[in-house]
Amino acid sequence: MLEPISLGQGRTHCPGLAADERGVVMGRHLALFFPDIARAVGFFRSYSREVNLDEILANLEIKEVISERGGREIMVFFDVAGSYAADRAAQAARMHKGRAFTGTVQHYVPYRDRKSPLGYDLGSSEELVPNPSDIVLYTDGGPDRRSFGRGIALKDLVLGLSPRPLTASERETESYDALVVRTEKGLATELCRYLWARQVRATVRAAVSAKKSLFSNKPKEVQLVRCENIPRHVAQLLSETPGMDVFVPVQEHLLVEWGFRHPIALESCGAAFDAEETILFFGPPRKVERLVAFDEQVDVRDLIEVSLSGPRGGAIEPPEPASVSPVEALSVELRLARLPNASAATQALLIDTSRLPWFIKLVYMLPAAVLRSYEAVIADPYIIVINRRGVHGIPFGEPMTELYPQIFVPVGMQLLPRVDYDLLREHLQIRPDQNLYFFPEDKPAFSVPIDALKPLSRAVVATEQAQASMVELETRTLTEELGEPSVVHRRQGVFSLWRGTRVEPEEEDPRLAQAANTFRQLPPRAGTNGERPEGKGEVEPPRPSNDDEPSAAPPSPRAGEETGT
Amino acid sequence: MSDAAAVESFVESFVAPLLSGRECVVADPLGARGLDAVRHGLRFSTTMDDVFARQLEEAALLSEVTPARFDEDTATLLYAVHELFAACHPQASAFYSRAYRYCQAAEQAVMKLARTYDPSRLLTRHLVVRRAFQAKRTDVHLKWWTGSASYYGTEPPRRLLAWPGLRRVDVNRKTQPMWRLAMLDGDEETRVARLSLMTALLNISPLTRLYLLGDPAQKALGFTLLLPLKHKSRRMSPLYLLEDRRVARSVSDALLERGVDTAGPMLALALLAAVRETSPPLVLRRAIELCVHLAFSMCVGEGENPGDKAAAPLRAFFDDDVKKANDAARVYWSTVRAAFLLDGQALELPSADELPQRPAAVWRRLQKRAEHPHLSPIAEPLARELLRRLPRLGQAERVA
Repeated sequence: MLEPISLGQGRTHCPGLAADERGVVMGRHLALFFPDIARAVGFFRSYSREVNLDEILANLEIKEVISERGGREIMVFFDVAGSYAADRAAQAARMHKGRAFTGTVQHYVPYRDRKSPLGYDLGSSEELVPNPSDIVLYTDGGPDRRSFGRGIALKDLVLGLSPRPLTASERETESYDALVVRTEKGLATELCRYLWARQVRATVRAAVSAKKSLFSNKPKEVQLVRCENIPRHVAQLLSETPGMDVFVPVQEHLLVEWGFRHPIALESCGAAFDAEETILFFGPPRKVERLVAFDEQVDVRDLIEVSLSGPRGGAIEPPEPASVSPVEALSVELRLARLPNASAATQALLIDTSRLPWFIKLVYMLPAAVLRSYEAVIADPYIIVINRRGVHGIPFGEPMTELYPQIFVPVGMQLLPRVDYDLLREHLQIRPDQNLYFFPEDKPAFSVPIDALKPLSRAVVATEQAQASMVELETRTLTEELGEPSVVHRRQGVFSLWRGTRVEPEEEDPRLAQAANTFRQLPPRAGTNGERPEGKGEVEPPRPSNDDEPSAAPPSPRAGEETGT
Repeated sequence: MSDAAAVESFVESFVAPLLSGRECVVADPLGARGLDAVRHGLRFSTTMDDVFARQLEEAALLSEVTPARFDEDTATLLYAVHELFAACHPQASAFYSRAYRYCQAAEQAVMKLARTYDPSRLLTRHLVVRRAFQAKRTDVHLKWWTGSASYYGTEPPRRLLAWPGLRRVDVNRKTQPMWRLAMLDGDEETRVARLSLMTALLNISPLTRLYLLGDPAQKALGFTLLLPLKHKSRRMSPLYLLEDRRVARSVSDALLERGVDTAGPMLALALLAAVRETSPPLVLRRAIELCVHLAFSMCVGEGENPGDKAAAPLRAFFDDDVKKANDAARVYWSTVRAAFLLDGQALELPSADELPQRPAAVWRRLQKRAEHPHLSPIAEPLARELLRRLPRLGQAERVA
């Protein structure tokens, strides 16, 4: 019978067991038993995602074991350094309905589980099976002898599996630094030219099939083109081209077809395969192709033949210099044109000076905001009113819009040709913040200095006249509000504070006084018979003088008596 | 120094600066004998005539009521204020000091003053008493490399401020109102005596009680609708003063200027406290009417002059979430809501139809806003209790 290992247990009945650094009792090997090969493969799929299989490949054995009653199981057997590594393997095995045993030579006990965290041992030395065949497993049901059947190589296991297609989301998120294109030899030249034309860095290796047959002729040669940073659409095009297949180099010699993933993480078991062979895993229904690739890699740029030929054949002649005459000016006139998509915001008005009386009358009607924000200037024959945020409320005048900074054109019109503003500035010699340029329709263009513009409210009143008509009246406040008083504390006399002042005793209720006279047995009231009164408030302090009151005179502050403590 | 000269000196150094908002000097307390001198000598002081003329201007800013001339009442109050300030002196809390006796004597003198509802006399009292709660003192605490000194209300000598970098002079100025100093400074006995004196000053000047609604000083000293004084065998209340239309107008103006967000809650809380006790119905009625009048004035102000400063609490009530309002504001607006519930039964509130268009819209909006369910837990029990206590409209007219 199996016994759980107790904490601090020194020796074990089963040979080959020892405690590791955590106190877990285990042997040097771990033997995992699976009911069939599919579950063993499942174990490798899970385990290879967590652990690099290369670490256990040196002593990994996959064997078929046969029980005494003829039952068969798959045993995965390898060395483990400690319980940390064994825990991961045992957990992965249990996920695939495997059983984990540990031991060193022939005698194997179950690896630790939740029931016995420190492992298992035999109940006594008598339970040890004296003549084990290949391996003995000790379980709760008793010892179980097993003999080894055929061995299975991990490489064969991996080669027998087909990659599965990626899901749509996996396909979107995948990214590779390099892809390998397997192409038939006849297509290689065109492929290289195509890649070179698209500036894809690629190298080419030739490879032949690793299968050797007595009946085959010359081995078939294929080209493996390794492309760096190949665009996805290019890879897609190549994968759909007959005779070409795109592969992802999982390892240098292990390639999986683009769009598929091998069930076992090939990154972790590269050492299981011969480095001489390059193995191509095709997606189903195709299988595996084993190639022997040559070491030399040739850059596609070295393979492309570039030749220059003219349109009629032959070499291209060197170009002849043409006679050049610089274009100074084409003498195109700058014109105003009414265009449907031109700006329609009115930012200035050109009012004829004959409308000045109208404008003056209108000023009385304009709101204060307009007077404050609009600017105006009289430049014969126009009164110019400008507001960059829009001129509203003036029903006459020619509306203008600011096409470019400092350049105004009629609303709905544009300057043609559409030269850029810098050129226009250069042509019109526009200096920033100096002049405004107006292009009225069918009239000559003109400019006004910006300094001459005045706010409309200032422009409508003549300053001198306003000053003359205003008489400033002297004002004074109706009443002066008093401030808050502040207190200055001067030094107080020590004796006045000590003496205090006279406080009249509180008036007594006459009924209470009468009651007090009635009950003569009550003790006399304090102070009435010349006794010393009780209570702090009635103690008369000693009198330094005949005056029984403190300084009756109000304080007379004297200079230099500030209180300083 | 003769008594006349001493009184003249008292007026010049203390009374005139106190009433004119300047720097008044306080040293020794006057004592009971000083009270006699002030009470009898104040009327002969020539300086007091100028001071009174200036106070007439002040009174005109406050109210349409003409203040009574300065008399013995005024002298007693000035004496009491002086004693209060003298008891706030740092020396007054010395171990040998018995400053509390001066406060007790002043309190006795104040409580002997006549209890009256005469607006003129009360306005004169208010002009004096309010100064006691406006006065402040700036203390300068000075430290330098070898010592320190404190100056109470005075500036330190310049020699102590010289070479501030070299002598590492540290100047700490602190300005505090005198009422706060009286409440917090000194020993327990003096503090209690000062508190009693301040309360007596407020009680004897009910108009000050009304004007100081919402003021931090009155908040600290407490405000109730009924005073612990009797007049003609009836408990006095500052709200009886609102019977005079001029006083009512000036009080509501002052409260609006101070801010209804501070004055209104204090009045509403006092009303809630008075409802729990036995209070005359007229007092309850005037209190809730004053609450509603303040709200109504804010509505008129907001309607006629949108963005009016005095109507800021009303706008906050409209715009802010009532659930997030502080408890004081909630009590005030609940009281207004209770008044709306009593409209037509015990109270007669102005109808929106009688108002101009814009104030009417604001008044209607207030009525609608006051129906917020968050106000109901206070407003509805208060309305029920007031409905039980207050006479119905018809009854009130018959009583009148």
